[in-house]
Amino acid sequence: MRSKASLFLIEMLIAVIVFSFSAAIATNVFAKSKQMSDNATTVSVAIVKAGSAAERFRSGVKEISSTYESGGRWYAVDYSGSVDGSVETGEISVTATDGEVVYSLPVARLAEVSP
Amino acid sequence: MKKLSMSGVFVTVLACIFAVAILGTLLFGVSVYKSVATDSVVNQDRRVCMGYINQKVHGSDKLDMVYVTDFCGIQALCIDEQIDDSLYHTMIYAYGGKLREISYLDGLEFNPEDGDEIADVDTLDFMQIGEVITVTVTDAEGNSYSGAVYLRSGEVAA
Repeated sequence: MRSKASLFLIEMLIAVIVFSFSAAIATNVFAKSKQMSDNATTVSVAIVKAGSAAERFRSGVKEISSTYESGGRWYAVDYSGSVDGSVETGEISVTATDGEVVYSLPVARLAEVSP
Repeated sequence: MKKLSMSGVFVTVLACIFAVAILGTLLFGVSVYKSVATDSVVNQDRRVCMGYINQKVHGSDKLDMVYVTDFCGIQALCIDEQIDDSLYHTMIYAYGGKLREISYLDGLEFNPEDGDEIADVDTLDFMQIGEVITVTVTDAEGNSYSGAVYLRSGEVAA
């Protein structure tokens, strides 16, 4: 007949194994949720920056490129576009230093007409 | 007897490790949840502040009717509106940790605390260069971010 301590030991070992699996899953979920939250912050800031650049673009400002730091990473706001007749169309993109495009915003304005 | 006590000690140690592991996982979960919740609120306030000011300006943008001014010693964005023969001012400013808005008939006087609360902000700075108003918001966490709003009424007038 097993002693009470041995039975409790077996029960504890089973509990520890079950808990280990649960903790591994929970930790994974926590890590993913933190990563998703960080991504949401990155996109949220990028939307504000791209929107701001779009407003400057619309105002006729020539130089709208800029850089900013968020969450320990650097991002660049850039514009690329072309003039087709009287309309200038393009895209404002927010890119991380590793080349990942975080957010892009299509823009258009009336092109300057030479007198 | 000796074997039994060793087993008992092992079980106790295992139970302690189990308890510490549960506590650790719980604290980690709480820490992540707090961080996610705080980030969510900060993101929401950021979007609300910038979106609100942006939409407010574009919705009421008439030539020389949107400008940066002083409201009871606080820098504010003023949007004027002429209704019949009456001129109304709408002030958007930060006071008491809140983004606030107040609309009133020209000539009347109000205090900053009378404004309606919109969102949580610490400070709000406006800088107008030509037709572009740059809004800088500092939230309660100390995070600062800025955005630009273009006054399209100037474009129409030109």
